[in-house]
Amino acid sequence: MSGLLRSEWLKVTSTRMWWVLFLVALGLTALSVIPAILLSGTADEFSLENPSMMRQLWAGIASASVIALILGIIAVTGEFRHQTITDSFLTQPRRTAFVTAKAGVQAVWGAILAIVVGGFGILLAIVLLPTQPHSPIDAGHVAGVYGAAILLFALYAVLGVAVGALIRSQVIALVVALLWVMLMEPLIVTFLPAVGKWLPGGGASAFLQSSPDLLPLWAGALLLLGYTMVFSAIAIRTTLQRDIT
Amino acid sequence: MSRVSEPSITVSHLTKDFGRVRAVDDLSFEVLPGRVTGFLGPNGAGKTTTLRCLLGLVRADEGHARVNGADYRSLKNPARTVGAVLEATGFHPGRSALAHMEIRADVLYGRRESQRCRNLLGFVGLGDAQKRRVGGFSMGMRQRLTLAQALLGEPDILILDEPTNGLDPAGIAWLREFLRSLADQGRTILVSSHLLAEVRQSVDDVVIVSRGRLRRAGRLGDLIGSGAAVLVRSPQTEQLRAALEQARADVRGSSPDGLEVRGLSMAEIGHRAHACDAEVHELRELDAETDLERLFLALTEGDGDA
Repeated sequence: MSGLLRSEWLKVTSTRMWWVLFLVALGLTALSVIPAILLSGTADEFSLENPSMMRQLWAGIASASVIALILGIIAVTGEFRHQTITDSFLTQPRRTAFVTAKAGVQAVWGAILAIVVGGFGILLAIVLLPTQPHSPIDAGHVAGVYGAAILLFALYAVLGVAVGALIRSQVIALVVALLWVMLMEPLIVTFLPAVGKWLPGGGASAFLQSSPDLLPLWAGALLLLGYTMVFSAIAIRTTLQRDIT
Repeated sequence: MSRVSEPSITVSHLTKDFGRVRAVDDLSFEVLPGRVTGFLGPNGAGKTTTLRCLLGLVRADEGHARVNGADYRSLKNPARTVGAVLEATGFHPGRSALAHMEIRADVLYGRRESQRCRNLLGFVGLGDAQKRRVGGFSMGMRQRLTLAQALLGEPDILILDEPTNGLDPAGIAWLREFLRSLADQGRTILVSSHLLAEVRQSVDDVVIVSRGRLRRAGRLGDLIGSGAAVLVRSPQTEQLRAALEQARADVRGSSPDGLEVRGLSMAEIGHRAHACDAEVHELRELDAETDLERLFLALTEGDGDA
């Protein structure tokens, strides 16, 4: 298994894709944090003097979580796109081992992404906050959100692996994932919150505790893991068993 | 290494449909170690599908294709037993040749084996290109990289699907000699081609398929023997003709041009002539090359996009 993990690791570091995705994630985080501070104004409901706005500001360090999902999706679908899947299955024919190794490596990459991107978001906030009136920085809360983001990104990357294995086509998987995360889920969460909190995105929101009506963090994590396990199990028995021609 | 008598590849009643098209139809044959076996047939004859079944990439509908008596997917470290040079093996265009090798080595050996990877890339002629991204590689360079990957596990069985595609004549000659040397070490070589002429010089055995079905399997020499004509001239023409026809040979022509004999080897004809006291003035093979090609076409006749 360790050889398989090393192999999967090298698959990521030997191309420049991770670089591109990291830059995009940094950009998304900056787009979330910078306006939240610079446009915060004073003494109104959007002011950072309001503690709930501060909580939203810190939740913004995890706004690039979708990039972790994409990281996982590309790790699997890229193999089908470039037909490297042929050699991957020749060297390791057991599909469960293949998915497990990919998931393990992508979890680490998701965590690294969160450490880099979340750290960047926190630094950005600390540098910019003195320009605006704000309520005090609750170090404990910030550390909690940072830790939660690391776990969330790791789980999202693993979920991406499962989704990629299930769909196989890179374009379709990315379109489906982005439409789901950016359109479908927000709609469901808004109009059917009771259903929404049980969706993958509901599990993700649980991490940042930005609204009182969510699942506890541990349940959100289990929910994401549950989706991952179900998708992977189906993929291993169906889409990954298809003929490689 | 297995004993010479035991086949290292066994295909038995293999059948595979793609939708309504039967790609492989009740195909059975064996491949022996220590020999180079040509897997021949026109394009679309089912060669690639058969090889991919053998490698666990395509699931058979009926029958089986096994290596050393086991399904590929049940082998513990299959790429250490079987090396495969397949046509549609892809590379990530943004990844270097060396990284492609190391990704494989990690799984096969549990460690990166960078030196082994570099040596192999040098061996197949990619020494100077090892750090370059594969996106810029020519067809021939990709083919060489696939070969290096296949050899990485030092496999006893090597399966090659149309390996000469994209290689220049010098590369083809080099590959031919290399496969021969591997077979001489006792390894099993199964190499597919849609051109008989291409493997004619380099194979010991042939398996000929057409429309997914087996047409002929055996030693190349036997195939020549059964197809090629031998010219024999003798003053005792009728005496010799009778003797040869008695040995169930197909005999045509007459003196003084000599007899055209099919179905017997030169040695057998000489033996019959000696036995019936016929004097032999000439005994030679008649353009075996052309005859073999004609036989191959006859065996695979009626295939569409050959």
